[in-house]
Amino acid sequence: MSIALLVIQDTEDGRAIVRSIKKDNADVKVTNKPAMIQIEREKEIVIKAITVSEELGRDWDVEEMQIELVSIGGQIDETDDEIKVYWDN
Amino acid sequence: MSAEKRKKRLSRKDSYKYMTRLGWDTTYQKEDDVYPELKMEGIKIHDWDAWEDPFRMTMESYWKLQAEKDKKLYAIIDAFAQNNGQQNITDARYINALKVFITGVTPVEYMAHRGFSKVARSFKGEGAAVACQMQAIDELRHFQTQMHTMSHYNKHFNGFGHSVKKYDRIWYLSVPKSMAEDAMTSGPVEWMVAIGFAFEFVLTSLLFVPFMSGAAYNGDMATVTFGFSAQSDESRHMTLGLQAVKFVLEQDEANVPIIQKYLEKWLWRGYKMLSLVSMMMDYMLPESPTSWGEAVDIYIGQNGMALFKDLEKYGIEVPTDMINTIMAEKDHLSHQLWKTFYFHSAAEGLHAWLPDEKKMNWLSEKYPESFDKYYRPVYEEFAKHDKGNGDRFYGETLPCLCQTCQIPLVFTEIEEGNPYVYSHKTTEYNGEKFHFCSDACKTIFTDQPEKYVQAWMPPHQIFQGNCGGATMPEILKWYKIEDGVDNKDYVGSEDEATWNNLKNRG
Repeated sequence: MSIALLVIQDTEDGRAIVRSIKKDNADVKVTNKPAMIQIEREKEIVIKAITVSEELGRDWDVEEMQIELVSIGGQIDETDDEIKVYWDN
Repeated sequence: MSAEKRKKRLSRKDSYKYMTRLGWDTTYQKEDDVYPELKMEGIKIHDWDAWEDPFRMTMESYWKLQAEKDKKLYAIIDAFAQNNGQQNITDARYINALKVFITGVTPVEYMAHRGFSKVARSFKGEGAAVACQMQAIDELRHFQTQMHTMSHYNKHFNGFGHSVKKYDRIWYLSVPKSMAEDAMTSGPVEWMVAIGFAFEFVLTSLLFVPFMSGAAYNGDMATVTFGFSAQSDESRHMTLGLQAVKFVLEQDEANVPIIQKYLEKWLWRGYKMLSLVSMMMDYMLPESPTSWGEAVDIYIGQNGMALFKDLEKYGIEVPTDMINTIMAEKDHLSHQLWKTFYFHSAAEGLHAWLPDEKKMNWLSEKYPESFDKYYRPVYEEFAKHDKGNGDRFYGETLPCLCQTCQIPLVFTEIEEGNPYVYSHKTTEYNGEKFHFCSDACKTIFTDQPEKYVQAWMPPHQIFQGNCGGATMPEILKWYKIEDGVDNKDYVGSEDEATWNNLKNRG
């Protein structure tokens, strides 16, 4: 099965997103690299707006993900509530 | 949650629908006249409305987000300058990687801006046009922010001037330039596959992610910030590139073989151009957090393969042979290029140097199969002739270039098991002989020979008298390289003296 990949900036908001990803994605692999955080998981990675909002203590719009993104490996599906990075194979 | 709830508004889906579907059908002009490039490639599109941006980005959101990215970036650029950030990098050798960047990558961003503006106009569908328009603006932003960021180094170090003129003229910069112009002169769908898909999805991560992380590792706060600011756009571009390919494949079965050909051509073109990045990562970063080989494993081996597998259901075949070649060459690429750059550094707009013992040990560790066996002995031999001994030799002969990728024939037959033999393929066209670095580059030529015979080949142009003169000083002057200042060894250069002064070692 292919590995979905997400790389985000190591920033205040970026780290909150990573914490929320850890909560919502079992068996996710997180690697800290200089200035960025690499996230890998089989098949898909889900970022839920509600979990990130809880982590940040404010309302977080999925659109704000654009500010923190460094790279993706996978297809994208974005709705009002979540962003999914996934492979369809 | 204590935060206030936002006002009710349209869902992302509806807002995308209302804000991006603003087109119309032609009435008093023929559609073919208004969109003259739609049919030139033989691509068949039946329903442009099926195009959807997975991020569902509207112009309203776009401006807001981009403004925020720029505000963050410029705050950091100012802070970097105010705090003399140039003093905090690990070593001034590193700055030479930025000289490659500003002359070899930044002008390509501008070409990408022009290309996406053109393609935005070429597509009939508004979804595609809007996404391409956004990317065109992004690329212009990248060009500008890179210029602004690196201009700070121009105040302290040599070799940053005339970057765009250098891109137009210097021999090794014809590699990125010819690739960008090849894409620009293709049809709109080929452009999308070339830049949007092959370059953005499969390859830019190799450039922007590990190299920028490396910039951070070497204390270059300004570069990592523009790098990641640009890369946050790239994620949208990657998604656009993949969407473009999927959309075209879904529209008509007849599109599949055309796209397959484009995919293979541009995966190879992009890979060849990025070989420049392999040496930036492995040799030009004083401290390298990730090797080229490791980056290829993640971004080509893991990510690229997953991507092609996703496209298999549309009838696309994984270009296994090509990926195997890239994987086989990963242990050799950066070494073969850096030794070339070291040897020819009299004709380059940057300084070169030999890897020190610490760097060579790191290279041995990262490349256990290749470095000690093939490349350490070369550097040890070079070291015997290095400046200290007074007989440093600079190669000044003009190399034979590959007619397609325009890289000199410096790569060897790795996959064939002959690592000591230079890879050299040839073909004839209209009674003339043409030279190539690889079978893949030869295939690209033989598919469209009438395009590639027109290539502007730097050594040929020198021999034809089009590059300022026949002697090295004349050519360097035309290249905008100041002889003895911008080129040759780092050791003994003005840059080195500047650095030592900055660090109070002088």
